[in-house]
Amino acid sequence: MKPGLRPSMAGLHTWLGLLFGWVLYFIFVTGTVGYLDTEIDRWMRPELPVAHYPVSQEPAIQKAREYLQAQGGQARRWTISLPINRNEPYLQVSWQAALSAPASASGTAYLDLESGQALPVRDTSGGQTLYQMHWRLHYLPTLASEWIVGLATMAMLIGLITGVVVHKRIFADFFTLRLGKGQRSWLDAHNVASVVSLPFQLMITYSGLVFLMFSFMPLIVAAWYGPGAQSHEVFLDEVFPPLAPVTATGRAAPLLPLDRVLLDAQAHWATAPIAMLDIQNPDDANARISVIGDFAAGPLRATNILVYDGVSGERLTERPAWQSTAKASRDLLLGLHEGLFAPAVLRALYVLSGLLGAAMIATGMVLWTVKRRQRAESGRQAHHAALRLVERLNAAVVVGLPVSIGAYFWANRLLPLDMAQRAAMEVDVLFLAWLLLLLHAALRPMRRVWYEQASLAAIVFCLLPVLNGVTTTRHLGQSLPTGDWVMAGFDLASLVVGAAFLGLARAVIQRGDRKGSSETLPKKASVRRC
Amino acid sequence: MLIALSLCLSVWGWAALALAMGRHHAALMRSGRRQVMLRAAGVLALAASLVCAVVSNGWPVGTLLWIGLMTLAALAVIGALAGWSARLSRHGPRHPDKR
Repeated sequence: MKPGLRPSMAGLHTWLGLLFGWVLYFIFVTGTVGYLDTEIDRWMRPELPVAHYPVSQEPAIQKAREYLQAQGGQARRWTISLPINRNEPYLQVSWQAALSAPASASGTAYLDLESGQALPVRDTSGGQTLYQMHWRLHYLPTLASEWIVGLATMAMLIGLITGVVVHKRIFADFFTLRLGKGQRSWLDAHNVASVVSLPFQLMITYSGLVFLMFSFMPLIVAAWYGPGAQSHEVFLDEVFPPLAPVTATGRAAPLLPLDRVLLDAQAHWATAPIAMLDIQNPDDANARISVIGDFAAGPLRATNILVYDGVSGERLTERPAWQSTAKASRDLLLGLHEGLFAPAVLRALYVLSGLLGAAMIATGMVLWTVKRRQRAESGRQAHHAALRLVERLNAAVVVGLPVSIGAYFWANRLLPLDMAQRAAMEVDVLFLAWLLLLLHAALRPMRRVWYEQASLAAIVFCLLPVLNGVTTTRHLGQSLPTGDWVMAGFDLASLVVGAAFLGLARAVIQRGDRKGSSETLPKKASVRRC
Repeated sequence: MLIALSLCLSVWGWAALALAMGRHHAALMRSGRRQVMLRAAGVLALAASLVCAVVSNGWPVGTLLWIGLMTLAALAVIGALAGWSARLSRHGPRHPDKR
């Protein structure tokens, strides 16, 4: 290694960490929480019954079709999502009205498998919105969020690589974790969290970039297809060929019974499950039915699609999951990133790795402040404004963000059910809470900020199951005996998270006591203490 | 079942590799040959852990499971070592064996 490489890589690592650390922490936390979006969706809609899957598909499709038909109007598109697994546990339908119709003419619904009626659920943003914040952030136009998240992801990748380069004794120090030694402990914690989950961090960051690759490498497309948005569209149509594109003729024609299509698809696919039916221009002469398999059957995020004529039932075309090695490579990376295929144990390990990623970022940010505070207190450096800013922002983000997510769950239970814009209001509560915590971190004395925010986090999460019990009937007293593991799991996880923050609050206050007393005692006595 | 075995093997593997590094336990300082044997045992245990995971879930999911289990196992070993070292430094090291 050239003599100047490590220091310059260290500088780059530090700068990128400082600039993008808080955004990346947000991305990791919403990503880990978003990985559990289906379960969170379920908890935030306590009106939904326990899910049963898989179910026999013909009756489910028939009920869905009857419901959609009863919606009336000249719909442009219907979708029917069948309950097949943990990712898609309920029978869901959606209908999109014609382009000229008002927005209220379109909608979605959960259907009861017995009666075929819509299940009344509260208007909520659910876990889906937490998941979408992972790459869309919130309140920002798509272009802005795409670039912010993309740059942050690139910074993350560079941070990982520079981190490995800078970590001089990555093998010798693999097991090193010295506790109670101030800056060295934080560095050890940062290293342990990163190295122990390094394969995951590299995969998740690189695949995150692959999601955005068409936006971030437009010149490659431009070189082959020409510049401009139109050429880009041509390219995208080649990579993702639209299946049997067709416009409505305006001539009415009855949609054929869907079980004919279902039987043909099942015969064609043997054991592969059918996940969704996508019906374009229903009740029109140019109706098309796409039968879509399960995207998350394996690590490759792709599935076979069959397209049928909606009036005659003739099978028009099939798009196989594997189209080219290049596309399959991309699909593999996207599939690994989303991790939807993972069975239970691997799923838990994905969550663990996501949390380790968040811990990696948090310990890095704290390490930066601890190092500089030590220098400032020993008189070697002035206690400058940047240090104060970062110290306070660290607390407000590392603890404040989880508290805000907790507030989001509280809002789901507490906001009146008939409120207008209820779903948007829930998300507003999340960000309002976060703003208040930022103010708290700015105004309170620094030695109290971490303790107070961690204590608040403990209260918010430990009391969440109690709130659930008070506001709904789906509390632990009901979910544990009946084996409703989604509801029970959420409540129990909330208790675990609350306990973890309680531990953090206690650790902060104990360290504060030790430091405080060692500062008042004369030097000799404080050396004897620890 | 096999996944649990895979996890145990991972923990043993990492533990063996950690113990092979003398710096982590002055009281358990190993001679050169012991170090090599421990290191070999550690690597073998990790490899066996991979085999268990793949037998249990097939190559694609099994490999991913193995990587994740190694993360968990390494964390467990590191945490245990850190706790042990903290206890040692508080109460002082035991009289080391003469080897």
